[in-house]
Amino acid sequence: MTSKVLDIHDSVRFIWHGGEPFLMPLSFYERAVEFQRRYPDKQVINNVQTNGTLVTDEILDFCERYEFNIGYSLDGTMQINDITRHTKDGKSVFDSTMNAIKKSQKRNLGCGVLVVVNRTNKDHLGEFYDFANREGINLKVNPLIKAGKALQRYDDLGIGPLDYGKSLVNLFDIWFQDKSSIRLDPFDDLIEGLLTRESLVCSYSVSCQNHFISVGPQGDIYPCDKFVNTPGFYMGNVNTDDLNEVLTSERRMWLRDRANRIHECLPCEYRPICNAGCMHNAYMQTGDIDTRDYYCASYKLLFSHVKKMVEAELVKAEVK
Amino acid sequence: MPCDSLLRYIDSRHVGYNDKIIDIERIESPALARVLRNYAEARGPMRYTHNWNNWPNWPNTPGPDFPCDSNFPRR
Repeated sequence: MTSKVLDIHDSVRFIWHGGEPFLMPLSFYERAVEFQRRYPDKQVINNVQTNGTLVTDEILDFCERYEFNIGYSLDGTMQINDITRHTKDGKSVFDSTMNAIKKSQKRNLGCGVLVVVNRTNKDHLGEFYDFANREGINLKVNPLIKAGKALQRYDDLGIGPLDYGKSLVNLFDIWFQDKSSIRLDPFDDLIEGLLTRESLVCSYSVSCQNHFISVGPQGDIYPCDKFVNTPGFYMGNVNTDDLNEVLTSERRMWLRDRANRIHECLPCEYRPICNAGCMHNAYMQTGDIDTRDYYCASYKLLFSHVKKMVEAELVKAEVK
Repeated sequence: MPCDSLLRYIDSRHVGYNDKIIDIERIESPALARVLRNYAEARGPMRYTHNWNNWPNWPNTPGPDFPCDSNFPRR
């Protein structure tokens, strides 16, 4: 897979995730790096998304040597995180995740924390932001998606667009005025997107299918990880199909053109920034990608607030 | 959306936004100042996004020979 991707692209970011990617032995990643190093002229970035519980010094040595960036998963401070992230027998993983984060920081590894916003932590994001800020941890915030393991608990944990939007606005206000602000996405990217009209976040990009594919453990190709095993979205297999043909297939072109088919988004002032949002967020609620992103109302609430706040600051800093 | 940006690099302290020049040092929000500094740093004097048909000639900006950097590698 590594070679096939690098054969046809000059710049590739590999995002290794699961489940838990470190259930795979380190030799798996060593082999991947071995393939990557056969392409010295290509730009390669490796990210791995883990809960940190299996991270050892040996793994960190490897990540340091080959410049793997590590994203850790935490949904809040210990009390909140324990509700959604724990071992099979209900034990807390918070301390082992934090231990791995601190070790990564000591080695100056690129690392951050991914927070999945759900019903249990939506009102505690500010509290976790303060904690992360004290610990010098960069954050990225995503809503819980209706896919994978979350499907089993979505009715209990899923969050509606208005609640998600309000949570983001509250968090934005804390971050925006904070003197020692950490990087917090999607806000960093969103501000740049609003000011440049170039969307950097996959959900808001002109089409995620210009940049992303997902390859499963058996080589199955899907538009992104959220669609893995979703009927109708299988695009081929990296072991048996020509990757270039998959990437230029009519099916992928159709996916890539999605935003242009959603006419209800055309008059929206934020259309150039969100590009009709994430096709999976649309699909998970309606079964049809050609509908608006489920979180459309959240984005509108957030975009209008961020735009107002940012433009007020820019006016004050204008050179007369 | 290549070459269709509202924000553009001027120098390490200034960015252009619409028809205004913004002094990053005067931004009160540390978060916004950091985003703009990162933007300016990433673009540098030779790399930035702009639309030459729409913008006046800002001081200290390179000429239109420099390519649009809409494919500039992201973080």
